[in-house]
Amino acid sequence: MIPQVDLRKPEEVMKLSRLGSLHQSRISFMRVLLRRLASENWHFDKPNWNIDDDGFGYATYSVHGPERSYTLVAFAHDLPAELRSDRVIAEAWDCTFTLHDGIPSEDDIIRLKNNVPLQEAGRISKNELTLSRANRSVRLWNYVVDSLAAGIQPDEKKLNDVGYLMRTTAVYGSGKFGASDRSKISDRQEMRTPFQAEMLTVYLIRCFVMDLVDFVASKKGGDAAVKLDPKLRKSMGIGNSTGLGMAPFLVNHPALLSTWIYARETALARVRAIKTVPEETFSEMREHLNNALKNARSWTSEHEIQKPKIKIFCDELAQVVSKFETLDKEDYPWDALHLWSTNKLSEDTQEQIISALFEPYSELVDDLSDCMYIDEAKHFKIDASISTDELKNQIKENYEWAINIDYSKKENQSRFWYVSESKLEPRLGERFEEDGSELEQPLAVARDIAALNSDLNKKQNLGEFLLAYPEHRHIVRRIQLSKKFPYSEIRDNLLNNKMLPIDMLRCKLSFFGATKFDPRSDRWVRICMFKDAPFPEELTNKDNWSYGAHAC
Amino acid sequence: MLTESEILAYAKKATRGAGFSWGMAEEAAMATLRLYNAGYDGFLELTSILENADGQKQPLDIKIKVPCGLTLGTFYLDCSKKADYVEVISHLMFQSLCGDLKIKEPRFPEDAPDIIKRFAHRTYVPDSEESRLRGAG
Repeated sequence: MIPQVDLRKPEEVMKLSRLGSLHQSRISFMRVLLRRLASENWHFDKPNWNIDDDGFGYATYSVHGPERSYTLVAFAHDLPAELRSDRVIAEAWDCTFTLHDGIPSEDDIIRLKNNVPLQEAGRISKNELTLSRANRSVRLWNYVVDSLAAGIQPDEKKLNDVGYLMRTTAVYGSGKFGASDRSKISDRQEMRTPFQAEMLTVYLIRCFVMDLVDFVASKKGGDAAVKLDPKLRKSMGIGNSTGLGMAPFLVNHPALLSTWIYARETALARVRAIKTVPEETFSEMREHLNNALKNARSWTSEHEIQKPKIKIFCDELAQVVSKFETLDKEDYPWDALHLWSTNKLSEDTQEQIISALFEPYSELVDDLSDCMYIDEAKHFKIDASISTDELKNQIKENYEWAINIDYSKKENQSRFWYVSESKLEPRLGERFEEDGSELEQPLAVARDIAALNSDLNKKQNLGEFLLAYPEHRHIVRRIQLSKKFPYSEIRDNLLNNKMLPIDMLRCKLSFFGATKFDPRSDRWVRICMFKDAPFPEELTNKDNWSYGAHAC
Repeated sequence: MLTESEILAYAKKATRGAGFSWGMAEEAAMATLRLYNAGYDGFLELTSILENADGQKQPLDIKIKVPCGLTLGTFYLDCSKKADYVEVISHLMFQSLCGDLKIKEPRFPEDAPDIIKRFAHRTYVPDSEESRLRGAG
């Protein structure tokens, strides 16, 4: 049994502002993927490169593991500038992709060529795991191509300000548009951790994009052209532009969310329980915090909420780095550092310290990524044999925060979540200004808990109650899940006028392993994935890339 | 061929669109998928449930002569009762919820029937220019 202190309580962890302050860590899905690719010595090849001199055509990138192969099929298109849009309502992109399960045949390629470029309007099959698309960075693509074609390396600062040459605008998986269901692949060791197919897709997209930019520049510049410097190449990730479509995921998968947070909190509890720390681990931690600071300083945003957040974050991290010089190296130093940060610093910095604390302790932390998956169907059934009194007690125990909100106040119900007719995507409406609130999605957890609570006014069997009040059924299911999964519920009112959907996006994206959070409004955000990650030929068992080129 | 998650999504939305609550729609979706996995036409079974419920006040009465298979089935499921009723709308759905289905070779549909899509469509909010401007995604 690994020693650990008490886990932080859900009421502390599950506030939206804290979830919106999370950072990538050793248990983020990108890092789990690359550790596996390295430790199992996966092989990579590029069996097809059918790209013309202008950079249009298709290519395939295969990876071969101990038991299976997977292939990214990438299509590069000639996209007129006026059609380039990050919105989910776009209908054309610079590149489109799918991850094929195995090695595609020629027939597969023809089938995919007819469907993948259409994205949502096409259809893939159970032999594909993901569907994705990406657009060029308007700021960087032509600049980098022109520089390389002229034999000049592009400016490092310009590259780092953006962080990527292309950004994906969607990466669909899990049974979407005909792709294989998650349940069909979740028993594979390499797919057990969530979103591994999606992360592998993005990792291979990055390989393709970086090859493509060199290729296009070489065709344009001929003998004068140079390849992108390996250091600059490594500093480029893949961007991602994510909107409200992702937000309901955490609410719709409460048990899964709980496993993610539980893993993170357990890692923290284990590290806090470390009694003595050797000098070299102190040095390593100092280095990690320094790198985290350098990394934070590379985040840029024009957004009014994020700008001050980044500034405070950087200032506080600098404080932490200098405090580290005088840190008391007595027993349980990480616990002391954590408790100090909890009292003194913003949630953003606290959570960065927590992520950094995991870094030197692969043996305490990494195995927890095996516990971040749950078979949700096994926990679907409601236990209706209990009495309504027992349910009421469960509400009192876990949902007092929800029943204490005054829903008669407009600001506490001002939003409603709905699905738009045109793109079938989740959206957020203004209840008192827009039509459609009668078609609200069941994401109003706090308000629905309160409504249930007020109908629970006589003792009876829960099954009888639900027969009379089926409108409470979805919320009863959540309450019962929250009993088994303590971190299943975001403890905030998602209808409140001040609620920031980007906090939900940030939480999920941090578990992916994203960096450089750059909100473009309160409801969409740009991020960077696999920035500074090793390319396939550079993969080693040292999982040390995520804080940038300065990593120790 | 539709995937499991597409069947679940269509069935859940359609059931909601026909006037059932979200929680009942979740049960209907799981039961529909279970029917397909057991070799039956889940959407066909679901359709008779939805056509019967459409326009009726919820919750449906289970004491009538031929009750709704979804409503009675869910109640039986909750009370751990076996599917001993014979006259019930969409008997296979009822059994899927609370009985023992004879398992056959799974056969998934190529697409959802139009009637299921029409019921599902009722859960979508038409776009207004205002929502387009506000909403990202």
